[in-house]
Amino acid sequence: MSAADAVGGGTGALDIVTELAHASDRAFDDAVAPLVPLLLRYFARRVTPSEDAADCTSETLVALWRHRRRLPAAEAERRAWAYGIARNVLANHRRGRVRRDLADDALRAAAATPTPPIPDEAFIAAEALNLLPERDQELIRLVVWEELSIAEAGRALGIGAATARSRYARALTRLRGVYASLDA
Amino acid sequence: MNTMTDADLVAALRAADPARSMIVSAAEAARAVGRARTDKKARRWLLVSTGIAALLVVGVPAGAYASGVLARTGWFGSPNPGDDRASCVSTEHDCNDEWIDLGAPDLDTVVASVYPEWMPLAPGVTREDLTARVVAIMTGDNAFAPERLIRRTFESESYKDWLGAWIAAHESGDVAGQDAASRVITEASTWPTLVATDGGGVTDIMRAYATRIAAGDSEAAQGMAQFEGAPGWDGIDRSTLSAEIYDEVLGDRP
Repeated sequence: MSAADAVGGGTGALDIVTELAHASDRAFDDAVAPLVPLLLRYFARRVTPSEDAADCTSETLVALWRHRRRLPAAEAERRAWAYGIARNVLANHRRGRVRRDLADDALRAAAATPTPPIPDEAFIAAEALNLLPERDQELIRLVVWEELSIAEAGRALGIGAATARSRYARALTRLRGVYASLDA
Repeated sequence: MNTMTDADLVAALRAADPARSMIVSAAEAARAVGRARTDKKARRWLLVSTGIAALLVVGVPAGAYASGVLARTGWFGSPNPGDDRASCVSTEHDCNDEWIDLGAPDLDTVVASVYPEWMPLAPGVTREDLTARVVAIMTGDNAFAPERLIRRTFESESYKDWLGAWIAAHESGDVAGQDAASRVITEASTWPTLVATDGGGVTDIMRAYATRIAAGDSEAAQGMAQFEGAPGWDGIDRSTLSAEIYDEVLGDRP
């Protein structure tokens, strides 16, 4: 008896395999589509020109699809895991290794959305953030802009929850100090 | 304001978020995911077969155009207008790499001057043949390219010749010829410019193919010949085998 016979025979078995494949695609789409705006914003906050954010997002989606067997089931874990992959894509972008033709026009247009004017204290806060050590900046961005919990941000950066918490507290103290000096 | 609470500080930072106005509809998100699913690993195929094309200049400062007569432009560094000259945009060239005007009349002299003396040539290939081929390839692009691209083209063309030599020797039962070609195909993954321009796994992939070829695997030789456009390819598509080898080598590398 062949494997196909065991499943139900001939074309029926192929139908089942095809249906399973489609179900797998749908499950991936459902799990990953909500991450798209989050990833686009993640890259828009970190790459120049901001249009490159669309290509980086698409590159991350390709990587997520390639690694789909390891996609965490829990939403929060999936998000932190996706940011971990995005971090690698970001490093590749900085080395000039992200493809330029991946994203479609809609994603590019979204990435190119102009930033409206911001209040003075927001401007100073952004300037202060830029003056912190890179690892502090990234932790704060992940928590404040990506809205990850401190533990999730730590996971995305490859550090433990306790370390992330103490580092975040120190980073915020430094940020407050720099802000005060800029605002003096 | 000299003192801020953490909550005020975080609120100010949130307001400074450069992406706060960015909106992606559910339909756009779904389309982006679907596009990623059907990407078919195009990036992987690009690694070996068309890596060279990616090296071509995307923009050249007016000063470089002004020379116009000599292939050696005297211009180094990033090809992007406005970039600092010391910056580099990829692993495929570095700040010490001179940009060569591929349309200049003395291009053949410049190409001949960087001929890799150490490199073994496949049976029936002469230095003059190979140099002329490299000149023709470079001229066809009619742009600017880093000098390293010329060196790489010498190496990659010779690599292709040796793939063709292995296939020919295998088909004719020439065991000694097959062994000789196999040795060079294995060594090619250490050739200096191929190594220096390896932006991610290219030489690893070459080694994986070389191991199979050294074991007499003609399917692997044909698969590599297909993707490199090497002589001797029989025209049969071996994408599936090549995908297996790519997966084996690159695994989960992003």
